[in-house]
Amino acid sequence: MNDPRNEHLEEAAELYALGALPDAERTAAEAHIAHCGECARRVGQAEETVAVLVGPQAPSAQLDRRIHALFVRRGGGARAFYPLVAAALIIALLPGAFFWQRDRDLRASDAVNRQAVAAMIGSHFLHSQFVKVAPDAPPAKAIFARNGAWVYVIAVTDRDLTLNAGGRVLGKLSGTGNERAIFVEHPPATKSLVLSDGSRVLAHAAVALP
Amino acid sequence: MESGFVAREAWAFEAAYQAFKSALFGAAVGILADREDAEDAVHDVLARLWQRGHAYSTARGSLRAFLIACVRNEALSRRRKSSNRLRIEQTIRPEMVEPADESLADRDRIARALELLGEKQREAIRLSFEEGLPYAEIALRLNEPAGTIKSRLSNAVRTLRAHFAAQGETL
Repeated sequence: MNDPRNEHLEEAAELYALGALPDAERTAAEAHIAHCGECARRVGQAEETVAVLVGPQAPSAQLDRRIHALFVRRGGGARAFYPLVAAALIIALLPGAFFWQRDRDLRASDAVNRQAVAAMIGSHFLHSQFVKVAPDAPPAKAIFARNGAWVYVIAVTDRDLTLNAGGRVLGKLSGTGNERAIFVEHPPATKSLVLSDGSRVLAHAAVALP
Repeated sequence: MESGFVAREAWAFEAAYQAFKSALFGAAVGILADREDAEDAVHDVLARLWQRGHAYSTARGSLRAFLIACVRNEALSRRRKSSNRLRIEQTIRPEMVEPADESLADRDRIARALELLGEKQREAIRLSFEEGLPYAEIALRLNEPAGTIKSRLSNAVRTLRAHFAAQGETL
């Protein structure tokens, strides 16, 4: 007897995308899609068509908070930096968030974060952890466009830091409180970013900026 | 963001939510007709995909479309499982659900696309997309063989895709 997972979905691909399959057929389709690139593409195309028909509607701020809490609470591993990125997202995408706007001191980092989030949403990007060279180096992370169009560095520190690459100073990190960040457009081609405090190297991160 | 989502990075999940939240919520509330239920559906989908993994890859297509499909399926599942579905459908007044934030141009564009379909295809798509019926129920409703409805829905989606692609719509 043929294993249904080996049979292509054919027209069931469009029904899957519409949500018109009963549970049993849907489960079988998902099992097949997981290992069949051809059917996954056909389903993806149908899903894109169905998505065009969906009318957008803004959710409440309460859902924003629930989603934020979901990922902050459960974050781990490389997510030590997640609160900073999440903060950047909130600042950039919820400009009406009163609790941020009340704090005038955040405006400098706000601009950097807005640039970074806009860039992240619009492109494919990678990220890399900074490795400490000095024992007092702060935790820091680099997020950069795969095509080398930009790099965004965030650090958990209240100190003044400088970002360097290929012996060149790319700029000083800005921000307030315990957050410093910099967004650099068109950085030079390099495989390594360096954070320094002006007099010594604190950390470096392996990147691939073409 | 897509690569972070594939790697199940938490920040990518929230970035995806922020980028697509209106479409995700719109997809859910269009089916559930209740804002709270719709928000629960969006929340639960993102939590489940993050905790249990997902089948998304960049080869499949856009992340936005994938997430909309996941939310629609969650909403449809909730609606089908609801024991008081009929009661809800009969008692919900249209004004209880706010109209979508679509512009008139968007609505007109979609209406024109649906006009391209034959009457039978359009009715099948309406019963599937708007009422959330599985194909077997649509077949019963229209008194047609299930296989006919499957083909009709499939052809309708492919016709719409060709039209949207020709019009340069974002797919």
